[in-house]
Amino acid sequence: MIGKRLKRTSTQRAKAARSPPEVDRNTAEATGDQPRLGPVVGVGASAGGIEALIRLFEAMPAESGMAFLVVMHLDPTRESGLVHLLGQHSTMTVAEAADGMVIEPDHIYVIPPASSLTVDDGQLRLTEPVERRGARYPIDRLFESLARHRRERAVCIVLSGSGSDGTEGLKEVKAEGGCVLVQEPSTARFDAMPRSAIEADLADHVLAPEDMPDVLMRYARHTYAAGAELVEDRGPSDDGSIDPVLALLRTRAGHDFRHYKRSTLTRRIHRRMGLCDLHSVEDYVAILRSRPEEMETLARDLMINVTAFFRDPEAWTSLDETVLGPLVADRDSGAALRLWVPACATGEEAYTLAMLLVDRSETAGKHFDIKLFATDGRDDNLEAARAGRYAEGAVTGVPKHLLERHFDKLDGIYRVKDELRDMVVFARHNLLRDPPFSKIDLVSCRNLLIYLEPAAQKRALALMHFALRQGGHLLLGNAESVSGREDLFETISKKWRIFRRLGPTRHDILDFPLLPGRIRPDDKELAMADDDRPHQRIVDVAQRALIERFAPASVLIERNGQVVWFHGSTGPYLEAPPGEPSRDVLAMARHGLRAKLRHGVRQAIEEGRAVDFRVRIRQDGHEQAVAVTVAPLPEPSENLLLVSFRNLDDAPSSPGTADEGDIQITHEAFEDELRAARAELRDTIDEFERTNEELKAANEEVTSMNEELQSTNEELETSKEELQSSNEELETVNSQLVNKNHELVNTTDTLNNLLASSEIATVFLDKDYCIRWFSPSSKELLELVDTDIGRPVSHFAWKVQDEDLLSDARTVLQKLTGIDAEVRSSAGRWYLRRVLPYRTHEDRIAGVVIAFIDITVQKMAQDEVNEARLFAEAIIDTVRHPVLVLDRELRVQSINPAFSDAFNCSEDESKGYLLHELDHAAWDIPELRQLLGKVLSEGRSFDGFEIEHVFPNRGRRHMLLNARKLANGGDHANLILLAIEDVTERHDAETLRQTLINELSHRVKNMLAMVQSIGSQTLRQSSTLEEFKLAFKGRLNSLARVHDLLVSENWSGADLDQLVRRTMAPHGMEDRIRAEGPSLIMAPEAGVAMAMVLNELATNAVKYGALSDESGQLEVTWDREDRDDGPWIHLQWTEAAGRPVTVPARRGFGSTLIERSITHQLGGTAALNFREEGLHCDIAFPWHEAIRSRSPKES
Amino acid sequence: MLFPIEGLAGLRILVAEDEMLILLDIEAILDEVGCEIVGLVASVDAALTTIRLNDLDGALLDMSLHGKRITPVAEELVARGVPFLLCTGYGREPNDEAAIRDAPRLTKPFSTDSLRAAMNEAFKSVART
Repeated sequence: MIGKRLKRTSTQRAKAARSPPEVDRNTAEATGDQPRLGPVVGVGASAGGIEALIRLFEAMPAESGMAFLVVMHLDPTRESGLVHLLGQHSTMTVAEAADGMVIEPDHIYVIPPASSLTVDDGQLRLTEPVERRGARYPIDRLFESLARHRRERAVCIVLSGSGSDGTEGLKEVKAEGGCVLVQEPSTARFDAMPRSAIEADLADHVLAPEDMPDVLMRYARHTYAAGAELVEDRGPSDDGSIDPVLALLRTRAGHDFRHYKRSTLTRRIHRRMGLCDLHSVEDYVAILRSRPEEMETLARDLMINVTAFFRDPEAWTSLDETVLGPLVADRDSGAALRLWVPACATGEEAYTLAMLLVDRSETAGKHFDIKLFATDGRDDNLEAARAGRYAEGAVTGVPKHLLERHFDKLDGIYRVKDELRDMVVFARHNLLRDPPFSKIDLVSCRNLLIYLEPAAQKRALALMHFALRQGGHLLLGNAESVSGREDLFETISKKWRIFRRLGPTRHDILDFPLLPGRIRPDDKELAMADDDRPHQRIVDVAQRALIERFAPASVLIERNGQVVWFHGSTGPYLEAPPGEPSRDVLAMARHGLRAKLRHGVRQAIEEGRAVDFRVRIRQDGHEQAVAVTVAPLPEPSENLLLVSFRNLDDAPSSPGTADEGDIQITHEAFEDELRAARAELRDTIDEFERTNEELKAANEEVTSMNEELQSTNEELETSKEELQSSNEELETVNSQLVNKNHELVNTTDTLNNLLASSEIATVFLDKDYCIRWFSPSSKELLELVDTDIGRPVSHFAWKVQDEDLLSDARTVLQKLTGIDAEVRSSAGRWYLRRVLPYRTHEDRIAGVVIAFIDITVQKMAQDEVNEARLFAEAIIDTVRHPVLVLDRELRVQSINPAFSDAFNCSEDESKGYLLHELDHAAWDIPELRQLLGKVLSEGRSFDGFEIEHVFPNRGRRHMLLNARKLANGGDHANLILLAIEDVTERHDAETLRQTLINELSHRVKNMLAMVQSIGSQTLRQSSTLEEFKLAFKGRLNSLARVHDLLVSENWSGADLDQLVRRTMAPHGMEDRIRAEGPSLIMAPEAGVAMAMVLNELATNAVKYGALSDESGQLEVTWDREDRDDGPWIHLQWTEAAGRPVTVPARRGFGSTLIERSITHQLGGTAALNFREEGLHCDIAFPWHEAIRSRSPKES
Repeated sequence: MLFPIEGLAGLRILVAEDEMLILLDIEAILDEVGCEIVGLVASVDAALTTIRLNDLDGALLDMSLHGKRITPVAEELVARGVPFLLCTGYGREPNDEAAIRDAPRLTKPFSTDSLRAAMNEAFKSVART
């Protein structure tokens, strides 16, 4: 056991020379504690995973030497019962993982909730998850750490679960050579997680959980997983043991891995052997021969290339700043940018670069023709890259804004948007075998060189140097460098491996593979037949044969003496010196040659011509004469010199064996021959040199032409890929067009039906007024059949009277606005004829559309409405009441003539004014506004509403208002019709009438009161009823008479003369009565009083006085008298010649009445003098009292 | 006698009436009931003078004397606390002055009895018992 371990350690040390970090870790591990720890198995499970875990662990034997790390997606807030549960179903020790715990065999470690479990040198590491909840990928984290620390001894199992957690981590595991087991999706309750791993082509075995332990045990037992004994047991020539596999891959599958690092290849081939449970390369080769799918699997595994979006973010940031920024800044918008990502794997690196570039150019506001060539040797990789679909876990490295900008999220998968996808051209290409692209601005080739042998690395670097334009940049992986080719690249960033191309294009270092074409799987037969040898043209064969036969042994040297080419057998002249290998020709020159050769070379360079000299070279004790020619080569190889050696035929001289004569003769003959031979030789050499020059030139030309052709070919290959994608696009577009066509057919059907059912006659005309199309219903107006399409519309007679149709159509075409007109058909129907421009979807005018819409019914209705309106307007205009129409704001809409007459307010001064502004705010009547508001809001009407308002111009007016809301028709919904009746005159007359009635009543009552007084007084004075009757009648008659007089004088006054005469008239006896005086008009009241007084006097005269007999005389005189206090009226009643008068014993009512009437009522004096000859009454009263009238009472 | 008239006897009464016949009638009635007639006036001015010069117990007033409203007289009487009776042919009107509106009325034409009854009612505050 110990010996084995030591042995392995020494082997690992030998390997450490090639890849130190990897081996150191293994060494440390190998010296770990007892018992030996087998593979560490990471188990990832999620939904439905408990059931799968139970099935797995129930089938697992107790002592396998393996340790299991179980990661599930657990609720971070709840205790996990998983430890307990698994403990019941497993014979192994189950423990909850804790930070720093040492991993021991036959243990199961379960992740606690809300943590991230990783491994580190045989210990568990437990950390807080850094990602937010919901974006955690704990399975990926575990698998990644297993890959990093356990390498080929990492075994990972993906069980039931939803999502894609684990897939990203498995990529690392595969890259490091670990083993991946995935649950058979049909046995999983949730198959998304297993499917994701299988679809990413990462599963080594797809099994039911209970079948996994068997595979695990076999894998653990296998030497690959157990250690490196397999390699070691083969002895020193172990590396060679994989050669048959590589040869098979090369010949059968077209994959040439000869340039790949042996260690990596060995590890991976052994891993496949481990998975196939094979222990010898021969067995494996047999399997490979019999199972082509294993060949493919192996090839895929060998080419594993781990990549990720923004892998090493700092490197990309640095690239972005130091390379992309200046690149975008230097180029003009619209320029081409060419980039190349060799070995692009599944495209992440290429898309990362494209995203950065797009971001840069958008920031700079430029648009570039971006060509990003992404190439890989694996078709399945390219397909995945072209699809551009990535699991959620794969895009975690993409910054959020770029993720949103460039990816569509579809059902848990992120898909690259077409814009970005179209920038990247994916093509199959093998960096080492296929010619490179050219004029590239940036080559990003990360983590490819590490897999290559140093020689292949140098070649790859040279190819990339060729591919880059002057000053172009190269980005390499973290562990890679341009070592060995420092002359080609200068370092821009040592840390992030950014380099810049130096110097001009170096064809000399280029080594384009001169294959007639790529070996594709189709070319297998040919490739095997040729056995990888270049096909040679017959002329080449001939030339080579000639040169080998006749040309002297030569070397081609540079001016500094470095040999670049050996031709023929140069061994007699040159030999390898001891010590470090050297190409210096002087160092190699054999004894005797060196000094002359140095001189000859110098001379040839200085003089620019061929220099001949002879030397004697000593070798193995004898000498040999040698003719040496140093010839500078013509352009373009002017820096090269050809040094040719030719043995001379002078055998070592053996003096004294022949006589002088013979010698002389022989010598001369030899001399001649030698001269001839020399001349011939010179010619031959010249010829040869010329030919050689030509060949060199031709070769150069062919090489460069070939380079160009190869580049062109590459471009063509790339173009082909573009064409194919274009073709795909066209196919897509075509299917879209087919769809669109279907839609159009449907739309056409719909439109046809619509037009047929609309009954609107429609005719489309083109720009020349020819018929393009017409609707079926237009046949009613135009005699048309389908064949009339294309004929000028002017050829047809319309059945409508529409002379303006064509001129309107012309106007529409010029002004591009529609024209409407009402036209009448010969059948008496009315149409709205509408002409509109015919616009195509590009907004181009292609003619006119004429539509005839039957409006007969509307037209008739409109006529009726118009008539009704005129009728109404005529009524409004002719009524004598002022009428006005108000809108909802009480703004005057119209007034009738009666209004303008009545309120002296013309239509101009009123229309459009608010009601309360009208006529200098004369109409600002709050109660009217309130009322109209009610009409508007409640829709009520009112009639006969009386208002009294003082108008500044017209004084107080009484008006009756009628208002109606005009509710008929939408436009009139809020109009008010207000009719005004001015009733001021009527109102005044009414007032006057009332006054008069009151006055009349008063008077009648007064009169009745007087009559009553007369009655009661008379009654009081009368002794008999006869007496009363007589007196009362006389007094009433007197009252009636004065009333007659007053009425006849229209109650304006009573003439004293008339009073006297009328009082006396009933008694007759005019011959005995003399009445004399001026006409004096007295006020009615004074007249009445005077009449009563005169009646008493007359009655007394007739009854007792002068008129009671046959002879008495009566004289009544009156006149005006001017006194101190103004004019007085003085009346004298004088009786004479009657019966003798006696003074009455008792003062009668008559006397009282006379006295009181004059004194009290008229303010005068009355004296009754009962003289013997007859009664004399002297009455005087002031004139002003008599005419003082009781004017109608003031109210 | 429907109404006692003893209380009215001896009351000093002013009569303002421009219609002489009615005045005579009133005068006769007042004589009958035993009132002392302080003045018989036919004008507003005369009535006011009489009021100021005499000590009155009551007054009978026509609404209007020669076209002049009796209002100043009525107001003077109200001010002096002298009761009065309006004898008028006019009915009550809304815009009558306060002194007129609140005074007791006797509508013309009136009978002797109705005058007596009205006086009895109007002058009961000053009636001699």
